Amino acid sequence: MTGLLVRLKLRLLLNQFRRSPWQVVGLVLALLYGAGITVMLVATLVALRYAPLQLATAVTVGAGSLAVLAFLVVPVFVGVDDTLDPRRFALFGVERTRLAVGLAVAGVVGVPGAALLLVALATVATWSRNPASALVALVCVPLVVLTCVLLSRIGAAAAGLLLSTRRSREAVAAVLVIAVSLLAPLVVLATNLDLGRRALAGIGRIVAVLGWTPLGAAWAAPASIAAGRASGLAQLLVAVLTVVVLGLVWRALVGTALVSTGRQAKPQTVAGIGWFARLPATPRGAIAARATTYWARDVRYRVSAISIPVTPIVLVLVLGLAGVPGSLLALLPVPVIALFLGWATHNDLAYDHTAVWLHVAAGVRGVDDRLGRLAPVLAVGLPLLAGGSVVSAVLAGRPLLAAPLIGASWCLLLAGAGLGGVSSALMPYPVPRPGSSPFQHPNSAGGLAAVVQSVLFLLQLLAAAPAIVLGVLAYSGGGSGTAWAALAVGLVVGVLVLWWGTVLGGRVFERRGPELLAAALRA
Amino acid sequence: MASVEGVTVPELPQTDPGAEAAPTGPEAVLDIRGLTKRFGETVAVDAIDLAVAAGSFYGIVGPNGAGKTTTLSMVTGLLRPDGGRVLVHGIDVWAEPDRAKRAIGVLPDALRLFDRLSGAQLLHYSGVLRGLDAATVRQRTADLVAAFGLEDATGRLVADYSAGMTKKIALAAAMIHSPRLLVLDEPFESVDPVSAANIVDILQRYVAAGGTVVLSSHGMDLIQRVCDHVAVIVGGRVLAAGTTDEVRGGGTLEERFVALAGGRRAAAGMEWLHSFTE
Repeated sequence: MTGLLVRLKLRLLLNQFRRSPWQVVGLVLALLYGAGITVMLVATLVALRYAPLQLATAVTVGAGSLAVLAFLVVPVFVGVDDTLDPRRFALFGVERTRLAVGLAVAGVVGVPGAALLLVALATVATWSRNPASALVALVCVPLVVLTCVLLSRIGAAAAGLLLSTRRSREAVAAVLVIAVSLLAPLVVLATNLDLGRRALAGIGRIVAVLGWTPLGAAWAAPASIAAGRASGLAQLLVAVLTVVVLGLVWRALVGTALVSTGRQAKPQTVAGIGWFARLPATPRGAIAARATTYWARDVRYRVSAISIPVTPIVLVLVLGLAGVPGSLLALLPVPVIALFLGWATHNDLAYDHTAVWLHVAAGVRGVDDRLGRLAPVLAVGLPLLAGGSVVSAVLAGRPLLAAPLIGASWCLLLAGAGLGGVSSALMPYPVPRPGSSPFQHPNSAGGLAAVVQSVLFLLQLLAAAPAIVLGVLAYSGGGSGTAWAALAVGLVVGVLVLWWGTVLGGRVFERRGPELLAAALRA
Repeated sequence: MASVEGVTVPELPQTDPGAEAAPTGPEAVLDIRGLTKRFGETVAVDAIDLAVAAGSFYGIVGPNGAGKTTTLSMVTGLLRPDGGRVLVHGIDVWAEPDRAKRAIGVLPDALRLFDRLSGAQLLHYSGVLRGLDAATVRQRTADLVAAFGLEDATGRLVADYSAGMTKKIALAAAMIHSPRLLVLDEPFESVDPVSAANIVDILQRYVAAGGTVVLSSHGMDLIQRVCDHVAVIVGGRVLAAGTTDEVRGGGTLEERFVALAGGRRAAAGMEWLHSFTE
């Protein structure tokens, strides 16, 4: 059974290379990235062999515990690798202990498992200070790997059992976005606080505690032995017990998963036809109503809607901590929001997935499709940016700067929307499917997505460059003439790019309708 | 009156010997000539000819992977053909897609709907995209919802519908603009028998009023009972086409279909299936 499952996992991994060239490029990039990180970690661990004992302990136990925690938390939210979800084996009638063992071992096969194994082996080098600690480190390698793999399997299976309804997944995803966005400034805060020795002592105390918890015991045992403390053996015992308990929990979860179905969600109801009644009953109006409904209701759009305003807040916090003056800081969020809001439209069509057939079959005019999709972004974005510009300029103490701010930010949004109108019809790339986790990017996205994203970003900045340059001149002492010129140039360029993008993108959409559907089918 | 010249393998009997050429003119609401689609090395649809007269209830049957969905996708403008022509009511679908598409109602198989909309919103969306005004859409939505028995489900998101309900709302959306031709890919799949009978009733009244239905299905009994014309597609070719009675000859449609599709595999060598695993 175990051999069979391992072979299944290997086969699934190898088959990933039998896809389109772009997908293979993306996969190879991901592998290189993983390999690079692994090599870096292994080198660090080997180098720690010659570092002071206290430092080596703090790094291995601290970072190791974080890694173990990550193996539990990441699968809960991202739902990685459900190819080995125990529920998929429910119909084969396999005895649950054998299945649990097989799935746990097969879980090691894969990029994260291989990287983990190499990194854990490198700790043997770290603790080769004396034979006893090296021996304990070697014993701890399988313990670390098993702990991590079991935790990730438990995390994924528990999420599968508890979060199987559409709405609970969406709620968790939204919470995660906010948490991650808030975590970044906290980390900056923590590292920037100049606590010096006190911080190091604090870390030492934390590491000492972690060494006795399931998260850190397997990492701490060889460190304690190397320091000549016999308590290392007790920590080894904790590590072994951890694996045993996790194994039993995993076995119980497999047993539960085999006999349970997903939870049923209480269906959501909508009175009337919502936005469709408020917007004109024309193709363009209906597409605008549909886009507005999706921005409000579809979690994939909601993630963008939440992260677009959060990103500049994080940016301002980070720059503020780095010592950028407040008068300049106040001017930054609005253009940054405009940049991301405009950019967010560049792959809008791919979010329809194959549902776009309705537009193709109905022969929707390209211009109607382009403008309808942009309607919610522009209707919310333009007034928001204008208001935000005024507030920013007043906060910065220079009300006149509202003019170049509006010019630059409207230009960024309009140009982004115009460019997006062309690119979404010309080069849609795969995105998370409707109803799946917004973080579950199809691995087919790969290289094409990266190219499209970065090229559009640059083009958008390029289009807004005249307005931005004039705005910077106005900031650094230019007269009111420069400020108004920035507004005028921004508006003209933005409107022109939007008009060009809508007409051209519309034509592309009409011509390539069947090809867009074919691309969605492949995604 | 639909007569069809299938691209037939010579030894197969010509089911409709009277038709030397597919009829042209207004009575053929759908006229397919030499339609071809290749995916890489595989020829999915191999120069199919088919003509469907106005007012007929046309069934397309064929084994899995025969090219039914590919053909219907090319007819409705969703998949670009590699060769051949599709005329709907005399309009070339691939030369003048905008005019042709107005005359077609589509139920595709295995494509998503905008399922974050409620049932009522999806119907409204489909109607308005097809150019109907708000009042017409409102009235037709009410009629369709009643006809398909979806009264309790209009406010729920289509994502939360069962498979059969999803099929029904998609079917309702396909006919909201009263098209001249309905192209339905597997309209009865996962639909319960009562609803299926109901749908057949709606379609038959539509045909009686001069509309044309082209549908694909695996339900031979249903096609034999409901359709007045049938085409059998195997391996991307039309092996038989004509009125249902002509195609099935003396036997049932299922017998004729199994014979055309390569016959039943004799279940030899499966004796292990009769000694059971404990």
